[in-house]
Amino acid sequence: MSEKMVVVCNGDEAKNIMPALIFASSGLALDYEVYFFFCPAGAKWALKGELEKLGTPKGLPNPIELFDTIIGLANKVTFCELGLENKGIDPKDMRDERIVIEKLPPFLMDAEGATMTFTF
Amino acid sequence: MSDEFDSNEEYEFVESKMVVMVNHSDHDSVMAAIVMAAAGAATGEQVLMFFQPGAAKVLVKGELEKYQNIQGLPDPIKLYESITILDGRIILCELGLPNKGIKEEDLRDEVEVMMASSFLLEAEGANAVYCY
Repeated sequence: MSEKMVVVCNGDEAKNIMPALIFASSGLALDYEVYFFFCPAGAKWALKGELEKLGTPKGLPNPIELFDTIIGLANKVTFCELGLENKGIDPKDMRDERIVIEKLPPFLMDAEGATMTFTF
Repeated sequence: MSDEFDSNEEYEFVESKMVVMVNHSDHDSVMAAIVMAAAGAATGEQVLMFFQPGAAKVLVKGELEKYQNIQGLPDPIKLYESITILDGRIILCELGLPNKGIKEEDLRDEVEVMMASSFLLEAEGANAVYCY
């Protein structure tokens, strides 16, 4: 059984989401079970049209391609439920219907036993 | 008796790994990261510091010196030296070079440059990961 990796995005700047996406996709390439979590502070990156605003940052991979890889291959991509009210977000604005909106406890139960946890 | 010390038995010393990620170049983030890494190295951890593009410029020669003389905080150069003397590794994400327009020859001498996926292999088995 492969090991678990947790990647948390906790900020609304490019330097929060880009390394998070890069680490998650690298983890997938190394056969980790990846669990990705959007905190309220990083909520906007789970919304339609936000990653697109980044374009392809100089010298970095394209964030949309990274996200599409992650949403397709990660064990779970979770959006913290608290982010809905905190940021005034409508669930239908999520960029992908496979993003799971839930509270932190079930996410932590899924992520239990993770050997790597990265917060950006 | 089985619970007595057996001087012939071989014991393997297993060093535990500690990962310190740095993703921001503000004073609070950099100093917190380097203090934590130095503390880990001093307590026998094998320290791996990984600098993301957001903190890449910290590893350019002459940049860490700008974090000196912050009230109440230790000298970052001494901390950095103690980390490397104690076999800690200072690693820069390869993407930080083109993203920030940094040339490899401008980095501090001890810095290794590595892809994120290679770093993850190096970090395998880490007991603690701290992100700043």
